[in-house]
Amino acid sequence: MKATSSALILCGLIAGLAGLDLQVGLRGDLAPVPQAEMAEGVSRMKAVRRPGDVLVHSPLFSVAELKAFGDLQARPDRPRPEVLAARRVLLLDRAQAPMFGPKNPAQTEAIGEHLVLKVFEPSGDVEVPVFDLLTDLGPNVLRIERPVGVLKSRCTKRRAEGGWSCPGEAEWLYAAPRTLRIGGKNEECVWAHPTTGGAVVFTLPAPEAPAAGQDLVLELSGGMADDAVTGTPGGATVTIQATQGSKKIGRLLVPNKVGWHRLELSLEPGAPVDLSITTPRDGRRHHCVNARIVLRPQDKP
Amino acid sequence: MSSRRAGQIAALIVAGYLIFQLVGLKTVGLTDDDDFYIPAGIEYAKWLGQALSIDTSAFSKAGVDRAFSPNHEHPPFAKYVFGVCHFALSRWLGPYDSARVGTVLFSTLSAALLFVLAIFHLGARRGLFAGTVAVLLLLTLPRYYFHSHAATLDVPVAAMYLLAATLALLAERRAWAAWATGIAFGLATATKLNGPFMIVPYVIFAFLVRRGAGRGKTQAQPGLISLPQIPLALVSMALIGPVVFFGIWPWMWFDVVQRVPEYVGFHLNHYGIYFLYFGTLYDKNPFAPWHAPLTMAAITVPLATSGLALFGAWLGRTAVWSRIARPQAYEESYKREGDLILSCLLHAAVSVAVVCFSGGPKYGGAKLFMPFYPFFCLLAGYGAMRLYEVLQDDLRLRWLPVVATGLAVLASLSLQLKFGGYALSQYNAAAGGLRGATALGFERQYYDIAFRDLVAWLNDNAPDKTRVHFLPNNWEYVRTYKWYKKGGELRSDISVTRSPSAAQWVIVTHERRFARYGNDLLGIRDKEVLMEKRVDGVPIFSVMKMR
Repeated sequence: MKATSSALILCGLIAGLAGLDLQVGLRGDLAPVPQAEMAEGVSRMKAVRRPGDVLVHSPLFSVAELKAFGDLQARPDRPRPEVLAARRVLLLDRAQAPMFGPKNPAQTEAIGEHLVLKVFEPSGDVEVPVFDLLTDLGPNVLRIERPVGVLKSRCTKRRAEGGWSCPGEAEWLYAAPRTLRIGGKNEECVWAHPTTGGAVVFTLPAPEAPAAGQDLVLELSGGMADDAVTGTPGGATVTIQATQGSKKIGRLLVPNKVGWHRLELSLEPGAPVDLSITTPRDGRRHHCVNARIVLRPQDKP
Repeated sequence: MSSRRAGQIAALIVAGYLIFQLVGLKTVGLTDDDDFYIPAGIEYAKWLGQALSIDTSAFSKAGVDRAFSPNHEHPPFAKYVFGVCHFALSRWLGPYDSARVGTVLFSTLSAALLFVLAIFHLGARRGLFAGTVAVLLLLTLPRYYFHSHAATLDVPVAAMYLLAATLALLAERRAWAAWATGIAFGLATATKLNGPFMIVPYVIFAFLVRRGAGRGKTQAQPGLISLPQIPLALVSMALIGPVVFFGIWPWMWFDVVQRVPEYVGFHLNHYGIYFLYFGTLYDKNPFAPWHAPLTMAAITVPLATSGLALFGAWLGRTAVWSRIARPQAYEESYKREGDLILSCLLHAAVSVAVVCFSGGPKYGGAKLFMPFYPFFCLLAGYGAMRLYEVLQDDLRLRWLPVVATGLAVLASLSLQLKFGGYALSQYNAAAGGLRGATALGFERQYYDIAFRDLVAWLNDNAPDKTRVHFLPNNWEYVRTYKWYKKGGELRSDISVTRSPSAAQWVIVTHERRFARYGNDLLGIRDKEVLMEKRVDGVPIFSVMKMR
């Protein structure tokens, strides 16, 4: 009798498990999100967005749905824990299939039937980014000088693969977010290949004056792709010269070594910052930069 | 029912399995590995032709190196089969589907072996029941079905591993099988690196069931560390296996001192391959965590199949334990049953554990532990049979296990049909299907599959001389589309260009394991979408008009 009962329960369990997979096998496609709803979701994201926020969208969006994002630099990648600790993250997600990763949003807003906007506040010490080259990259941020100091090209032409190319210059001179293997990790950064006999110059907008108790800081890092370093013994050093207004405020050297090289500089409000990138020999200098202007509390080291 | 009768019915079902596999041949797109193994197979088969016609130049170092340098990092057995099938069938099936018939044959061999194992160890009637369920579940297992059509080494090694394991188990009772085990083990080892690991569960099995059988006398209840008699199959594997392995791999005939370490070293220091797991990207240093293969199995094998297999293991525990605790007691039929279940459990566990704990790479969804699946399906077949047996005397209830098992096969089939040629995108309900798995941070496809419905769509819709470029990993499609052109499946004026700026159409394959994917989306999302393939509501590829 006991065996019969157990067998009946097991049969029920098998039928139940089969039913779950049958439901997956027989269900229809996930309904596309109506354009109006996507537009509303993106508009809400823009409304709550602050400078320096990391923008994330569901990996389930089709390209047609993604059109609503326009130039908004949102990506479908799960934010790393260190990003969640340091940055505010906005996630536009599918309500029926939530993205894995960030938990406990500070704010959740349903948008229509299919979408939800979640806001995650940073869990660690807060620095407020006011400009991030990676996410705020646009046309006219990069120019090529050849020779150094003489404008040759403004990089305003859209590239098929994303970012902006520089008319009249080599195709490998452009501004675009890239993912390179740096220090053994896949790192997001902005392509900044230097050119022999010229300079690649990024211009960061003039920051506004900080509130009392805050400092304006430029966090600058440069690195070369690992295989460009290891495959080019004797490869040339890349120099990043930072200038604010007409004042040279600091210089970061990126030697032919694996990994990131970093520099922090204090900034003054009201003047744009130029990052002029040069090298004596540009062979396999697959170089990439990150640059953020942040408001840092004065008591934070 | 006689064993002969059961064998005839089993042969019919295996024939059906073969037909069902062949029908699917042209639905499964080429993978990036096809372009490694098919050309290698063609070269190896040419060499085989030379060798069989006693052309002595075939046996020179130059002749061997010329033939076997393509893809010499993997052993040759399956590639011989691909090459022979290519030459035998390409007139009817074209250059690549002909070679892929080789994999279908290996897959069919695995189905036949499930019947052999079941009928030999469970008897004609019970074995036919368990074997039929096992074969149906294997046939409808979406990921095994996909890999059964790719000219790659994963299903071939699953079949050859199963052949060696089957013969080793038969060798417990048939002396001829012991010698055949050595040959099969050599062939499995000469198929892919999973092959030699078959010896680990076999030695554990032999130790457990042969305790007390040594020194010419039997003990009904031996001590745990009583020395077992060394099985003839093990001797055969140790002696004949290496002879077969080296014998059929001429690449190893010369410079053996250099080439054997080179072969082992390649796999010990395998380059990293991207693997997306819970939203985190792994390749090398570190590889994905140890539990990744277990998770992949748990979320891809249809749930009811897993349920039946786990019940099978549970319901077979008494037979297994009887075999371990008192190896020489009990009647022969009960011993055989215990041997079968114990052997299946050990092989299934070890074939996954090797990937989990060997310190090697973990990637490609479920492909690295293909030998696991036939054993798992046999456990499921056994579970279904035992459920039926419990209720078979009750006329009111005996249909229930049949219905439950039928639902399990139907559920598996529904996933198979839903995903079709997109079977590497299949996830079960535990992950929420493909849409749930994608949101969870699993890869929506891998193996850079050159989907054939995309090829057909391009043929129908692309303007003359269209240049296409694939994002984010164009280089793999350059390789596979070359085959489609060669086979006449792709219009000759359509080309895959290496430069995205030269392309009129860009095809985004939405493979998130490539870190550049997010940036690629940013770059193309303002372009016109010409076509988007969605499966379970998830974009698989999007064709974008660039100009």
